[in-house]
Amino acid sequence: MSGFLALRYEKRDGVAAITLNRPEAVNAFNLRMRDEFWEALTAARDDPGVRGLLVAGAGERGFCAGADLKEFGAAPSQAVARRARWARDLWGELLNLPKPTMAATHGVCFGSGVEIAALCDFRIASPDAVFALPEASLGLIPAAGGTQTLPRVIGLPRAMAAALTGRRVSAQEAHRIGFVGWIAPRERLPQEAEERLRAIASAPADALALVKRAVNEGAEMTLADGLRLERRLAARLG
Amino acid sequence: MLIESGDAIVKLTLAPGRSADALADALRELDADPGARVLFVSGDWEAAGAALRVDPGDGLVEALAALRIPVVAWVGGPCFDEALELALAADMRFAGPATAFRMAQARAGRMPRQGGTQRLPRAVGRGNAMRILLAGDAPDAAEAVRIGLAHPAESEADAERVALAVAEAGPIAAQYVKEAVAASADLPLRDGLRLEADLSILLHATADRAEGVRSFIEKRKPRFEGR
Repeated sequence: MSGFLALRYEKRDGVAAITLNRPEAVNAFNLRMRDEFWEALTAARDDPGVRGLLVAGAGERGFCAGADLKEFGAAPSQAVARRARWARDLWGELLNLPKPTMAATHGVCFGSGVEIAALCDFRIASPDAVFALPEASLGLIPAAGGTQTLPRVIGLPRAMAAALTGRRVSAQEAHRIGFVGWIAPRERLPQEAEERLRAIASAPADALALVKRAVNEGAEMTLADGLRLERRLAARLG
Repeated sequence: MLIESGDAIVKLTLAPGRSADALADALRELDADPGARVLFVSGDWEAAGAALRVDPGDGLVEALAALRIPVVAWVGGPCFDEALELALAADMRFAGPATAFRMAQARAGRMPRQGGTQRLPRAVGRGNAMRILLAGDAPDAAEAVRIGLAHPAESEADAERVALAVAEAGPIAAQYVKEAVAASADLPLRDGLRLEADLSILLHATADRAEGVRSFIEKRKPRFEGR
C-alpha cells in the first residue's frame, strides 16, 4: 500500500507491519498518523492474506513519544472532539482486530505509545525500552484506552500508580509485571517480533480469532455468560 | 484536626484513640475542600483497624475510597485484617522493611466486612486473594510488591516524595485519572472507554490542560491552578 507519509505498511509472508514513521518526532502520534493508522488497520483486517499484525516504531529513539501535543493541543470544540473520537473508533478496532497483534517496542514509549502497545495482544521490548504515562503531569489523561486497558493487563494498583505518577518503567520491570512478554536485543527486535508473531499466527486463523474474542468479550461478562459465549464460539469450530 | 493541610499535600496520620466515625467525617470534609490535591495517609494502621473492629461505624473505608483526590498510603508496619481493608481503599500503598500484611479473619471464624473480599481480588487477582483470605498467607513488602498489592519504598519520606510528585500533576487531570482507572474495575470495557473519552474531552475546557500543553511546547514546568 502506498501513499502513507506518517507510517509504513508492509506485508511479509502473512504478517502485516504498521511502522509509525515520524522518527524526527520520535513517532509522536499526530492527526495524519491517526488517519493513516485507520486505513492500514482496516486493510490488515480485511485482507485474508494477513494473519497477524505487528506495530513498531521507526528510528533509533523510540517506539512512540505519545500524542503530538502541537496538534492535539489545539483541540476543536468539545462536541467536535467527541464526535471525531467515535466517528472512527481506531482504538476499538485495534483492540478487537480478529487476528493476533504484537507491539515491538524500543526506546521511548510514552503516553499513547504505551496505550497502543496495551491495545495489542502481545508486547515485545528491547532492553532500552522505557514506558511512562506522563499525561496527568501535563493536565491531560490517557485517552487511547489506557485507563481501561492497562488495569486489565497489569492489574489495578500498578496501572493506578503508573497513570498517577508518570513514573518511568524499564523494559525489565515491564517484563516482570507482565506488560512485556519477551525481551529481545535491540538489533534483533524487529526480526524476533516478526518471527514470534508469525509462529503465533501459524495456528488456524479461525481458532485464534475465536479464542481472542472469547477472552476479550468474556472478561466483560459474568462467568456464567462467559461460559455460554465460550461454548457458542467453540461450536463454530466443530 | 485529624487532617493536616500542607502546601502541596494533605496528611492523615493514623493513631490510637480516633474513632472510625471521626476519621470518616474528616475525610468527607476533605472531599469538599477544592484546594486539596493529594492525601497522604501514614501512621498506625493497626490503630485504625482496631477502631474499625470496635465500631465499624459509618463508612470510613467507603469515605476513603470515594475521595476525588488521589490517596497515597505509607504502610510502615503491620496492617492486618480491617487495617488492610482500609489500606485497599487508597490508590497506592507503599510498603517498606517493617511492613506486614494479612487479611485472615476467616482463620478466626470471622470474615472481612469492609470490602476486603471485593477489593483484594481486584487488586491482586483471585489466586493471590484466596491465599491471603483463606490460607492466611501474610505478605511482607517483597511479596506484596511481587503480587501488586503494594509498591516498594525505603521509608515514609520515600513514599511522601511520590505523593508530592502526584501533587505536581494537573489536579483535575489527576482526579480524572483516578476516576477512570478506578472505574475500570466496575465498568465493562466499552463503558470504561466511553468514560475515559468523555473525561478527556471535558478537560479540553480547563485552563490547566492549556497550560500543560503550553508548558510542554515551551519546555518549562507547568503552573496548574486547578481550573
